[in-house]
Amino acid sequence: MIAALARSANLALLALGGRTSDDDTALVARAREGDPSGFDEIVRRHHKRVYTLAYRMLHHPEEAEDVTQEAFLNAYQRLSQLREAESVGAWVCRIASNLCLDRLRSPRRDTEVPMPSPDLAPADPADDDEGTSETVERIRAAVAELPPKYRLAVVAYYLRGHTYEEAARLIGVNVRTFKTHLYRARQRLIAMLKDSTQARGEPP
Amino acid sequence: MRCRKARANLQALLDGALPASDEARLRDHLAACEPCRGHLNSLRLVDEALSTQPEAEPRPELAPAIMAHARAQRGRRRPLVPIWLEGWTLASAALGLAACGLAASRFLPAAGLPDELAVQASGLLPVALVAAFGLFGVWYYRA
Repeated sequence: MIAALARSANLALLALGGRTSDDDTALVARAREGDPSGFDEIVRRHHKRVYTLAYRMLHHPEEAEDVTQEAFLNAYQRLSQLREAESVGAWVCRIASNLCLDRLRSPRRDTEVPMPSPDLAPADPADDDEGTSETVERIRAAVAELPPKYRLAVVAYYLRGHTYEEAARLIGVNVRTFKTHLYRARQRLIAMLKDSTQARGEPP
Repeated sequence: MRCRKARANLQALLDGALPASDEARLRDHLAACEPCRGHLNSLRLVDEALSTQPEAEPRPELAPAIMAHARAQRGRRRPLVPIWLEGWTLASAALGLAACGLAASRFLPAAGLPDELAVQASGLLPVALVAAFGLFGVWYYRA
């Protein structure tokens, strides 16, 4: 009876577009038992978020795909070590964050940091004011200029409207450190925005 | 309130996380300080620009490719021991055996039992320790 009530509550949440933590827990359990469809569903459910994180960190679609794939395969190999099965999506994001940081810190990458393509980071269509839209684009592009750990804080926080605590957990740092990184990142973005505004001769 | 303190609190104001008394003092400062108002405006712009950013779209082939790689990886993986018997379980059992060997070598002669038995039991000690480290290593590198 209780199980039936819990199941119908889950179905009701799913119908509302919500997702219960049990879903991911059950998928992880299925994957651990060797049912490949369990892991397939985990991939289907979380790959966009992981890809978005990697893309916003690396600003390179192919590299972002490589990181997404590596993060999921890494997670698959270590699935038995995952303690909080309901957070499997956040766990894969954390693995992807570390892979991105490794790539960004690699000396080979210094000479080849591509700028974000405007086609892949389009402005909000609701933004019809050209000046505002341009400013928005400049801010988004400026994220690519941030040092990796500050960039990661910005990317994690704005990934899906996370709270500070969720975003800190997503990238595996404590909340205080996370807030410091995010604060410094924002200050740098504002400074870059002012510099670019002055360079264009626009009023500040 | 000085500009430095005001600027440190601007994000909390945007987040709606500032206590009412601090918020009132900050708003007083903002009413009189144009540079801080400009800074608040910039912070708001940064927040808006980044929070309205659309999610990136991977190629549709990405998810199936990951699934296929995971299945291939699973096919290659041959478990050495059942999952419930791996790693810590076996390492703990081997360490327990080593502890028994050590205890036997110390206490069997004292209990009046033959020395040969104690020597045989103490012989288990290095074997069990090597087994424990070996199993832990296997578990660690497989993981």
